[in-house]
Amino acid sequence: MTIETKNLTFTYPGTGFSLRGVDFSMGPGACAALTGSNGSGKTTLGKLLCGLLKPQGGAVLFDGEDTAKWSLGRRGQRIGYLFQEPARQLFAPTVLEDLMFTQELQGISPGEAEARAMALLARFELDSLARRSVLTLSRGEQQRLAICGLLLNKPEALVLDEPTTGLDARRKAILAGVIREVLRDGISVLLISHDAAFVKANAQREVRMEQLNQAPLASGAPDKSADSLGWIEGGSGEGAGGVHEN
Amino acid sequence: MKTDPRVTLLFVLLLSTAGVVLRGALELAPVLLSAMIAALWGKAPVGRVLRRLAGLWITLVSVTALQALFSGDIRTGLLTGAAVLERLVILMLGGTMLAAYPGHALVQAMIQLRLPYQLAYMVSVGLRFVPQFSESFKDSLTAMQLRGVDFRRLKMKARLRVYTYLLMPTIAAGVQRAQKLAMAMELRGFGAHEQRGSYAPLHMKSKDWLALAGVIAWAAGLSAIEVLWRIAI
Ligand SMILES: Nc1ncnc2c1ncn2[C@@H]1O[C@H](COP(=O)(O)OP(=O)(O)O)[C@@H](O)[C@H]1O
Ligand SMILES: [Mg+2]
Repeated sequence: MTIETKNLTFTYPGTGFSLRGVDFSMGPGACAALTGSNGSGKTTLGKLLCGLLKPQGGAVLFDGEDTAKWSLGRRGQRIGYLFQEPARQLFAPTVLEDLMFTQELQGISPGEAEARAMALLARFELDSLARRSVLTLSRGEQQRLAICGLLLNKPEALVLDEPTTGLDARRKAILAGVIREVLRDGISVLLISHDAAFVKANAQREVRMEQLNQAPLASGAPDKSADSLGWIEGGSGEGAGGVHEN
Repeated sequence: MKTDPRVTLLFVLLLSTAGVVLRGALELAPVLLSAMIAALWGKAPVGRVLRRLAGLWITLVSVTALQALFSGDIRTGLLTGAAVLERLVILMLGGTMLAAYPGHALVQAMIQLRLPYQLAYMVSVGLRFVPQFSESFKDSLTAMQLRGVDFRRLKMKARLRVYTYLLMPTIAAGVQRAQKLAMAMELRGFGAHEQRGSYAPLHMKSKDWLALAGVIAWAAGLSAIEVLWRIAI
Protein backbone atom coordinates (compact mmCIF):
# COMPACT_ATOMS: atom_id res chain seq x y z
CA MET A 1 0.00 0.00 0.00
CA THR A 2 1.22 3.48 -0.80
CA ILE A 3 0.74 5.96 2.04
CA GLU A 4 0.86 9.67 1.27
CA THR A 5 0.09 12.91 3.01
CA LYS A 6 -0.76 16.01 1.03
CA ASN A 7 -0.15 19.41 2.62
CA LEU A 8 -1.07 18.00 6.03
CA THR A 9 -1.79 20.49 8.83
CA PHE A 10 -2.38 19.85 12.51
CA THR A 11 -2.19 21.97 15.68
CA TYR A 12 -2.63 20.80 19.29
CA PRO A 13 -5.05 23.15 21.02
CA GLY A 14 -3.27 22.65 24.35
CA THR A 15 0.32 23.53 23.51
CA GLY A 16 -0.01 25.18 20.12
CA PHE A 17 2.53 22.79 18.60
CA SER A 18 1.79 22.48 14.90
CA LEU A 19 2.65 20.54 11.79
CA ARG A 20 2.17 22.44 8.55
CA GLY A 21 2.44 21.54 4.89
CA VAL A 22 3.68 18.02 5.53
CA ASP A 23 4.13 16.06 2.27
CA PHE A 24 5.21 12.53 2.99
CA SER A 25 4.98 9.31 1.08
CA MET A 26 6.07 5.72 1.42
CA GLY A 27 5.70 2.87 -1.02
CA PRO A 28 4.67 -0.74 -0.42
CA GLY A 29 6.82 -3.46 1.04
CA ALA A 30 9.68 -1.40 2.42
CA CYS A 31 10.90 -0.10 5.75
CA ALA A 32 11.14 3.68 5.98
CA ALA A 33 12.41 5.50 9.05
CA LEU A 34 11.04 8.74 10.46
CA THR A 35 13.65 10.42 12.60
CA GLY A 36 13.98 13.77 14.35
CA SER A 37 14.66 15.28 17.73
CA ASN A 38 12.37 14.90 20.74
CA GLY A 39 9.20 16.90 20.38
CA SER A 40 9.64 17.43 16.64
CA GLY A 41 6.25 15.82 15.97
CA LYS A 42 7.11 12.25 14.92
CA THR A 43 4.45 10.69 17.10
CA THR A 44 1.96 13.31 15.95
CA LEU A 45 2.56 12.45 12.29
CA GLY A 46 2.36 8.73 13.05
CA LYS A 47 -0.99 9.20 14.81
CA LEU A 48 -2.27 11.31 11.91
CA LEU A 49 -1.36 8.56 9.43
CA CYS A 50 -3.32 5.98 11.40
CA GLY A 51 -6.31 8.20 12.15
CA LEU A 52 -5.68 8.54 15.89
CA LEU A 53 -5.61 12.29 15.26
CA LYS A 54 -7.71 14.09 12.67
CA PRO A 55 -5.89 16.43 10.27
CA GLN A 56 -7.12 20.02 10.32
CA GLY A 57 -6.04 20.55 6.73
CA GLY A 58 -4.70 18.48 3.86
CA ALA A 59 -5.22 14.76 3.54
CA VAL A 60 -3.90 11.30 4.31
CA LEU A 61 -4.17 9.01 1.27
CA PHE A 62 -4.01 5.21 1.17
CA ASP A 63 -3.36 4.04 -2.40
CA GLY A 64 -4.50 7.45 -3.58
CA GLU A 65 -7.81 7.34 -1.68
CA ASP A 66 -8.59 10.07 0.86
CA THR A 67 -9.11 8.43 4.26
CA ALA A 68 -10.82 11.40 5.94
CA LYS A 69 -14.22 9.69 6.16
CA TRP A 70 -12.94 6.24 7.10
CA SER A 71 -13.94 4.70 10.41
CA LEU A 72 -11.15 3.63 12.75
CA GLY A 73 -12.11 0.01 12.21
CA ARG A 74 -11.67 0.36 8.45
CA ARG A 75 -8.27 2.01 8.89
CA GLY A 76 -7.21 -0.74 11.26
CA GLN A 77 -7.78 -3.26 8.46
CA ARG A 78 -5.14 -1.45 6.37
CA ILE A 79 -2.63 -0.03 8.87
CA GLY A 80 -1.53 -0.93 12.39
CA TYR A 81 -0.08 1.41 14.99
CA LEU A 82 2.30 0.31 17.74
CA PHE A 83 2.12 2.82 20.59
CA GLN A 84 5.17 4.18 22.32
CA GLU A 85 3.50 2.60 25.38
CA PRO A 86 2.50 -0.87 24.14
CA ALA A 87 0.70 -1.60 27.43
CA ARG A 88 -2.02 0.80 26.27
CA GLN A 89 -3.06 -1.57 23.54
CA LEU A 90 -3.13 -4.79 25.56
CA PHE A 91 -6.54 -5.43 27.04
CA ALA A 92 -7.15 -8.97 28.21
CA PRO A 93 -5.74 -10.56 31.39
CA THR A 94 -3.70 -13.23 29.58
CA VAL A 95 -1.52 -13.23 26.47
CA LEU A 96 -3.62 -15.77 24.56
CA GLU A 97 -6.93 -14.13 25.47
CA ASP A 98 -5.65 -10.78 24.20
CA LEU A 99 -5.32 -12.27 20.74
CA MET A 100 -8.55 -14.24 20.95
CA PHE A 101 -11.18 -11.78 22.11
CA THR A 102 -11.19 -9.55 19.02
CA GLN A 103 -11.56 -12.61 16.83
CA GLU A 104 -14.39 -13.97 18.96
CA LEU A 105 -16.17 -10.61 18.73
CA GLN A 106 -15.89 -10.90 14.97
CA GLY A 107 -17.63 -14.27 15.14
CA ILE A 108 -14.66 -16.55 14.52
CA SER A 109 -15.03 -19.92 16.30
CA PRO A 110 -12.93 -20.32 19.48
CA GLY A 111 -11.02 -23.25 17.98
CA GLU A 112 -9.97 -21.34 14.90
CA ALA A 113 -9.25 -18.18 16.89
CA GLU A 114 -6.94 -20.08 19.21
CA ALA A 115 -5.14 -21.77 16.32
CA ARG A 116 -4.50 -18.42 14.63
CA ALA A 117 -3.39 -16.83 17.88
CA MET A 118 -1.01 -19.64 18.74
CA ALA A 119 0.51 -19.59 15.25
CA LEU A 120 1.24 -15.87 15.60
CA LEU A 121 2.63 -16.30 19.11
CA ALA A 122 4.95 -19.07 17.92
CA ARG A 123 6.20 -16.92 15.07
CA PHE A 124 7.22 -14.17 17.48
CA GLU A 125 8.57 -16.49 20.19
CA LEU A 126 5.76 -15.81 22.63
CA ASP A 127 4.10 -19.23 22.60
CA SER A 128 5.66 -20.27 25.91
CA LEU A 129 4.01 -17.20 27.48
CA ALA A 130 0.49 -17.88 26.19
CA ARG A 131 -1.04 -18.29 29.69
CA ARG A 132 0.96 -15.49 31.32
CA SER A 133 -0.60 -12.26 32.53
CA VAL A 134 0.07 -9.40 30.12
CA LEU A 135 1.02 -7.23 33.12
CA THR A 136 4.07 -9.35 33.94
CA LEU A 137 5.52 -9.25 30.42
CA SER A 138 8.72 -7.36 29.75
CA ARG A 139 8.53 -4.32 27.51
CA GLY A 140 9.90 -6.20 24.50
CA GLU A 141 7.36 -8.99 25.02
CA GLN A 142 4.53 -6.49 25.33
CA GLN A 143 5.62 -4.92 22.04
CA ARG A 144 5.70 -8.23 20.23
CA LEU A 145 2.29 -9.18 21.63
CA ALA A 146 0.88 -5.81 20.54
CA ILE A 147 2.32 -6.38 17.05
CA CYS A 148 0.65 -9.81 16.97
CA GLY A 149 -2.64 -8.10 17.81
CA LEU A 150 -2.14 -5.72 14.90
CA LEU A 151 -1.21 -8.53 12.49
CA LEU A 152 -4.49 -10.38 13.20
CA ASN A 153 -6.12 -7.72 11.02
CA LYS A 154 -3.76 -8.54 8.14
CA PRO A 155 -2.77 -4.90 7.64
CA GLU A 156 -0.69 -3.67 4.70
CA ALA A 157 1.44 -1.33 6.78
CA LEU A 158 2.64 -0.91 10.36
CA VAL A 159 3.71 2.27 12.15
CA LEU A 160 6.10 1.48 15.02
CA ASP A 161 6.54 4.41 17.41
CA GLU A 162 9.98 4.37 19.09
CA PRO A 163 10.02 0.58 19.37
CA THR A 164 13.63 0.40 20.59
CA THR A 165 13.04 2.45 23.75
CA GLY A 166 14.05 0.46 26.79
CA LEU A 167 15.35 -2.56 24.86
CA ASP A 168 18.85 -3.96 25.36
CA ALA A 169 21.05 -5.09 22.45
CA ARG A 170 19.63 -8.62 22.40
CA ARG A 171 15.99 -7.43 22.50
CA LYS A 172 16.80 -4.99 19.70
CA ALA A 173 18.11 -7.86 17.61
CA ILE A 174 14.84 -9.74 18.26
CA LEU A 175 12.88 -6.63 17.23
CA ALA A 176 14.93 -6.38 14.03
CA GLY A 177 13.97 -9.98 13.34
CA VAL A 178 10.30 -9.12 13.89
CA ILE A 179 10.58 -6.25 11.40
CA ARG A 180 12.17 -8.53 8.79
CA GLU A 181 9.44 -11.10 9.40
CA VAL A 182 6.75 -8.48 8.87
CA LEU A 183 8.42 -7.17 5.71
CA ARG A 184 8.55 -10.73 4.36
CA ASP A 185 4.74 -10.77 4.50
CA GLY A 186 4.75 -7.76 2.18
CA ILE A 187 3.74 -5.40 4.99
CA SER A 188 5.49 -2.04 4.83
CA VAL A 189 6.90 -0.54 8.02
CA LEU A 190 7.28 3.06 9.14
CA LEU A 191 9.90 3.03 11.87
CA ILE A 192 9.73 6.10 14.12
CA SER A 193 12.99 6.22 15.98
CA HIS A 194 16.00 8.27 16.90
CA ASP A 195 18.16 5.22 17.37
CA ALA A 196 20.58 6.00 14.51
CA ALA A 197 22.28 2.60 14.46
CA PHE A 198 19.00 0.70 14.51
CA VAL A 199 17.59 2.89 11.72
CA LYS A 200 20.70 2.42 9.61
CA ALA A 201 20.58 -1.35 10.00
CA ASN A 202 16.86 -1.82 9.38
CA ALA A 203 15.46 0.96 7.20
CA GLN A 204 15.98 1.44 3.50
CA ARG A 205 15.13 5.13 3.65
CA GLU A 206 15.26 7.86 6.28
CA VAL A 207 13.10 10.99 6.47
CA ARG A 208 13.77 13.72 9.01
CA MET A 209 10.76 15.31 10.68
CA GLU A 210 12.42 18.71 10.66
CA GLN A 211 12.53 18.60 6.86
CA LEU A 212 8.88 17.58 6.52
CA ASN A 213 7.41 20.22 8.80
CA GLN A 214 7.03 23.66 7.21
CA ALA A 215 5.77 25.31 10.42
CA PRO A 216 8.17 27.79 12.04
CA LEU A 217 9.45 26.39 15.34
CA ALA A 218 7.18 27.61 18.14
CA SER A 219 9.22 29.51 20.70
CA GLY A 220 7.91 28.72 24.15
CA ALA A 221 4.17 28.18 24.31
CA PRO A 222 2.46 30.18 27.06
CA ASP A 223 3.20 28.56 30.42
CA LYS A 224 -0.07 27.76 32.13
CA SER A 225 1.42 26.97 35.53
CA ALA A 226 2.98 30.41 35.85
CA ASP A 227 -0.36 31.90 34.86
CA SER A 228 -2.25 30.05 37.55
CA LEU A 229 0.24 31.09 40.22
CA GLY A 230 -0.44 34.72 39.35
CA TRP A 231 -3.41 35.31 41.61
CA ILE A 232 -1.82 33.66 44.62
CA GLU A 233 1.23 35.89 44.44
CA GLY A 234 -1.03 38.91 44.68
CA GLY A 235 -2.71 37.33 47.70
CA SER A 236 0.36 36.41 49.71
CA GLY A 237 3.18 38.74 48.74
CA GLU A 238 5.20 39.38 51.84
CA GLY A 239 4.06 36.21 53.61
CA ALA A 240 5.69 33.67 51.30
CA GLY A 241 7.56 30.97 53.14
CA GLY A 242 5.39 30.74 56.26
CA VAL A 243 5.54 27.65 58.42
CA HIS A 244 2.61 25.58 59.59
CA GLU A 245 2.12 22.36 61.49
CA ASN A 246 2.23 19.20 59.44
CA MET B 1 -8.68 38.28 42.21
CA LYS B 2 -10.57 35.21 43.37
CA THR B 3 -12.08 34.65 46.80
CA ASP B 4 -9.84 32.79 49.25
CA PRO B 5 -10.18 29.07 48.42
CA ARG B 6 -10.93 28.29 52.06
CA VAL B 7 -14.15 30.28 51.89
CA THR B 8 -15.10 28.59 48.65
CA LEU B 9 -14.31 25.17 50.12
CA LEU B 10 -16.59 25.89 53.07
CA PHE B 11 -19.35 27.12 50.77
CA VAL B 12 -19.12 24.09 48.50
CA LEU B 13 -19.13 21.80 51.53
CA LEU B 14 -22.31 23.41 52.87
CA LEU B 15 -23.82 23.44 49.40
CA SER B 16 -23.28 19.75 48.80
CA THR B 17 -24.47 18.89 52.30
CA ALA B 18 -27.69 20.79 51.63
CA GLY B 19 -27.93 19.12 48.22
CA VAL B 20 -27.69 15.68 49.77
CA VAL B 21 -29.71 16.25 52.96
CA LEU B 22 -32.68 18.10 51.50
CA ARG B 23 -35.18 15.84 49.75
CA GLY B 24 -37.93 17.69 47.93
CA ALA B 25 -37.67 19.49 44.61
CA LEU B 26 -39.11 22.68 46.16
CA GLU B 27 -36.67 22.66 49.08
CA LEU B 28 -33.74 22.16 46.73
CA ALA B 29 -34.77 25.05 44.48
CA PRO B 30 -33.31 27.87 46.64
CA VAL B 31 -30.08 25.87 47.08
CA LEU B 32 -29.79 25.43 43.34
CA LEU B 33 -30.46 29.13 42.82
CA SER B 34 -27.73 30.18 45.26
CA ALA B 35 -25.32 27.71 43.69
CA MET B 36 -26.03 29.24 40.28
CA ILE B 37 -25.56 32.79 41.51
CA ALA B 38 -22.36 31.96 43.39
CA ALA B 39 -20.89 30.07 40.44
CA LEU B 40 -21.63 32.91 38.02
CA TRP B 41 -20.43 35.54 40.48
CA GLY B 42 -17.20 33.62 41.06
CA LYS B 43 -16.78 33.53 37.27
CA ALA B 44 -16.59 29.74 37.33
CA PRO B 45 -16.75 28.36 33.76
CA VAL B 46 -20.34 27.16 34.22
CA GLY B 47 -21.25 27.20 30.55
CA ARG B 48 -18.23 25.19 29.51
CA VAL B 49 -18.92 22.51 32.10
CA LEU B 50 -22.59 22.26 31.20
CA ARG B 51 -21.67 21.98 27.53
CA ARG B 52 -19.11 19.30 28.30
CA LEU B 53 -21.78 17.33 30.09
CA ALA B 54 -24.13 17.67 27.12
CA GLY B 55 -24.07 13.92 26.57
CA LEU B 56 -24.94 13.33 30.19
CA TRP B 57 -27.90 15.69 30.06
CA ILE B 58 -29.79 13.33 27.80
CA THR B 59 -29.27 10.51 30.28
CA LEU B 60 -30.34 12.76 33.14
CA VAL B 61 -33.56 13.80 31.44
CA SER B 62 -34.41 10.20 30.58
CA VAL B 63 -33.73 9.14 34.18
CA THR B 64 -36.11 11.88 35.27
CA ALA B 65 -38.73 10.65 32.83
CA LEU B 66 -38.34 7.06 34.03
CA GLN B 67 -38.61 8.14 37.66
CA ALA B 68 -41.81 9.92 36.78
CA LEU B 69 -43.15 6.90 34.95
CA PHE B 70 -42.40 4.28 37.56
CA SER B 71 -43.48 6.09 40.69
CA GLY B 72 -47.05 5.84 39.45
CA ASP B 73 -48.52 9.21 40.24
CA ILE B 74 -47.22 11.62 37.60
CA ARG B 75 -46.94 14.66 39.88
CA THR B 76 -44.84 12.96 42.60
CA GLY B 77 -42.86 11.25 39.88
CA LEU B 78 -41.99 14.50 38.18
CA LEU B 79 -41.07 16.10 41.51
CA THR B 80 -38.79 13.18 42.43
CA GLY B 81 -37.14 13.32 39.03
CA ALA B 82 -36.68 17.08 39.30
CA ALA B 83 -35.10 16.65 42.74
CA VAL B 84 -32.56 14.16 41.35
CA LEU B 85 -31.75 16.58 38.56
CA GLU B 86 -31.40 19.53 40.92
CA ARG B 87 -29.17 17.57 43.26
CA LEU B 88 -26.83 16.60 40.44
CA VAL B 89 -26.61 20.14 39.11
CA ILE B 90 -25.86 21.46 42.62
CA LEU B 91 -23.03 18.96 43.07
CA MET B 92 -21.69 19.71 39.59
CA LEU B 93 -21.73 23.44 40.19
CA GLY B 94 -19.90 22.93 43.48
CA GLY B 95 -17.25 20.93 41.68
CA THR B 96 -16.98 23.58 38.99
CA MET B 97 -16.40 26.32 41.55
CA LEU B 98 -13.51 24.35 43.03
CA ALA B 99 -12.15 23.45 39.60
CA ALA B 100 -11.75 27.15 38.90
CA TYR B 101 -8.81 27.19 41.35
CA PRO B 102 -5.42 25.73 40.48
CA GLY B 103 -4.82 22.42 42.27
CA HIS B 104 -2.07 23.71 44.54
CA ALA B 105 -4.29 26.50 45.89
CA LEU B 106 -6.87 23.94 47.02
CA VAL B 107 -4.20 21.81 48.65
CA GLN B 108 -2.83 24.89 50.42
CA ALA B 109 -6.36 25.70 51.61
CA MET B 110 -6.82 22.19 52.97
CA ILE B 111 -3.47 22.34 54.74
CA GLN B 112 -4.30 25.66 56.36
CA LEU B 113 -7.69 24.30 57.39
CA ARG B 114 -5.56 21.80 59.35
CA LEU B 115 -6.46 18.77 57.31
CA PRO B 116 -3.70 16.14 57.52
CA TYR B 117 -1.00 16.95 54.98
CA GLN B 118 -1.01 13.39 53.64
CA LEU B 119 -4.67 13.73 52.72
CA ALA B 120 -4.21 17.08 51.03
CA TYR B 121 -1.20 15.81 49.13
CA MET B 122 -3.11 12.76 47.97
CA VAL B 123 -5.80 15.01 46.49
CA SER B 124 -3.23 17.08 44.64
CA VAL B 125 -1.49 13.99 43.27
CA GLY B 126 -4.85 12.62 42.18
CA LEU B 127 -5.64 15.82 40.32
CA ARG B 128 -2.29 15.73 38.56
CA PHE B 129 -2.92 12.18 37.32
CA VAL B 130 -6.19 13.08 35.63
CA PRO B 131 -4.70 14.30 32.30
CA GLN B 132 -2.43 11.26 32.08
CA PHE B 133 -5.33 8.94 32.75
CA SER B 134 -7.46 10.58 30.15
CA GLU B 135 -4.70 10.40 27.53
CA SER B 136 -3.98 6.76 28.28
CA PHE B 137 -7.68 5.95 28.13
CA LYS B 138 -8.13 7.79 24.82
CA ASP B 139 -5.22 5.87 23.32
CA SER B 140 -6.71 2.58 24.49
CA LEU B 141 -10.10 3.52 23.10
CA THR B 142 -8.69 4.22 19.63
CA ALA B 143 -6.40 1.18 19.78
CA MET B 144 -9.44 -0.99 20.49
CA GLN B 145 -11.31 0.46 17.52
CA LEU B 146 -8.26 0.11 15.25
CA ARG B 147 -8.20 -3.57 16.17
CA GLY B 148 -11.56 -3.82 14.49
CA VAL B 149 -13.91 -3.63 17.47
CA ASP B 150 -16.94 -1.55 16.48
CA PHE B 151 -18.85 -0.65 19.65
CA ARG B 152 -22.05 0.24 17.87
CA ARG B 153 -22.36 -3.18 16.26
CA LEU B 154 -21.85 -5.18 19.46
CA LYS B 155 -24.63 -6.80 21.46
CA MET B 156 -25.07 -5.64 25.04
CA LYS B 157 -23.22 -8.58 26.60
CA ALA B 158 -20.23 -8.28 24.27
CA ARG B 159 -20.20 -4.52 24.78
CA LEU B 160 -19.94 -4.92 28.55
CA ARG B 161 -17.06 -7.35 28.07
CA VAL B 162 -15.26 -4.83 25.84
CA TYR B 163 -15.78 -2.06 28.39
CA THR B 164 -14.04 -4.07 31.11
CA TYR B 165 -11.19 -4.80 28.69
CA LEU B 166 -10.95 -1.10 27.92
CA LEU B 167 -10.47 -0.13 31.56
CA MET B 168 -7.72 -2.69 32.11
CA PRO B 169 -4.68 -0.87 30.66
CA THR B 170 -5.54 2.44 32.31
CA ILE B 171 -6.11 0.91 35.74
CA ALA B 172 -2.96 -1.23 35.47
CA ALA B 173 -0.89 1.81 34.46
CA GLY B 174 -2.42 3.80 37.33
CA VAL B 175 -1.51 1.18 39.91
CA GLN B 176 2.01 0.84 38.55
CA ARG B 177 2.48 4.61 38.52
CA ALA B 178 1.21 4.87 42.09
CA GLN B 179 3.67 2.22 43.23
CA LYS B 180 6.58 4.06 41.62
CA LEU B 181 5.46 7.37 43.08
CA ALA B 182 5.10 5.89 46.55
CA MET B 183 8.61 4.49 46.38
CA ALA B 184 10.07 7.76 45.12
CA MET B 185 8.32 9.66 47.91
CA GLU B 186 9.57 7.30 50.59
CA LEU B 187 13.10 7.72 49.29
CA ARG B 188 12.78 11.47 49.52
CA GLY B 189 11.64 11.19 53.12
CA PHE B 190 8.00 12.21 52.67
CA GLY B 191 6.51 12.98 56.08
CA ALA B 192 9.87 12.74 57.87
CA HIS B 193 9.59 16.22 59.37
CA GLU B 194 6.94 17.47 61.78
CA GLN B 195 6.96 20.96 60.33
CA ARG B 196 7.12 22.00 56.76
CA GLY B 197 7.17 25.22 54.84
CA SER B 198 4.75 26.52 52.25
CA TYR B 199 5.74 28.45 49.18
CA ALA B 200 2.60 30.52 49.02
CA PRO B 201 0.51 30.60 52.21
CA LEU B 202 -3.00 32.03 51.96
CA HIS B 203 -4.07 35.22 53.73
CA MET B 204 -7.66 36.32 54.30
CA LYS B 205 -8.33 39.84 53.01
CA SER B 206 -11.27 41.99 54.09
CA LYS B 207 -13.10 40.95 50.93
CA ASP B 208 -12.65 37.29 51.91
CA TRP B 209 -13.98 37.93 55.44
CA LEU B 210 -16.98 39.59 53.82
CA ALA B 211 -17.52 36.55 51.60
CA LEU B 212 -17.22 34.29 54.67
CA ALA B 213 -19.84 36.37 56.49
CA GLY B 214 -22.04 36.05 53.41
CA VAL B 215 -21.67 32.28 53.39
CA ILE B 216 -22.53 32.04 57.10
CA ALA B 217 -25.54 34.33 56.70
CA TRP B 218 -26.68 32.28 53.71
CA ALA B 219 -26.37 29.02 55.64
CA ALA B 220 -28.22 30.47 58.63
CA GLY B 221 -30.98 31.85 56.41
CA LEU B 222 -31.38 28.58 54.59
CA SER B 223 -31.56 26.61 57.84
CA ALA B 224 -34.12 29.08 59.25
CA ILE B 225 -36.33 28.73 56.18
CA GLU B 226 -36.02 24.97 56.42
CA VAL B 227 -37.01 24.91 60.10
CA LEU B 228 -39.94 27.31 59.59
CA TRP B 229 -41.12 25.20 56.66
CA ARG B 230 -41.09 22.04 58.77
CA ILE B 231 -43.06 23.82 61.55
CA ALA B 232 -45.59 25.16 59.07
CA ILE B 233 -46.20 21.65 57.74
N1 LIG C 1 -1.83 15.62 23.48
C1 LIG C 1 -1.06 16.70 23.28
N2 LIG C 1 -1.56 17.94 23.52
C2 LIG C 1 -0.82 19.02 23.32
N3 LIG C 1 0.45 19.01 22.89
C3 LIG C 1 1.01 17.83 22.61
C4 LIG C 1 0.28 16.60 22.80
N4 LIG C 1 1.09 15.58 22.46
C5 LIG C 1 2.27 16.14 22.07
N5 LIG C 1 2.22 17.48 22.17
C6 LIG C 1 3.31 18.42 21.82
O1 LIG C 1 3.59 18.31 20.45
C7 LIG C 1 4.99 18.29 20.22
C8 LIG C 1 5.39 17.09 19.40
O2 LIG C 1 5.15 15.92 20.14
P1 LIG C 1 5.43 14.48 19.57
O3 LIG C 1 4.72 14.32 18.25
O4 LIG C 1 5.09 13.52 20.64
O5 LIG C 1 7.01 14.54 19.32
P2 LIG C 1 8.03 13.35 19.14
O6 LIG C 1 7.28 12.08 19.02
O7 LIG C 1 8.79 13.71 17.89
O8 LIG C 1 8.95 13.38 20.33
C9 LIG C 1 5.66 18.35 21.58
O9 LIG C 1 6.14 19.65 21.78
C10 LIG C 1 4.56 18.02 22.56
O10 LIG C 1 4.71 18.80 23.74
MG1 LIG D 1 7.20 10.40 20.20
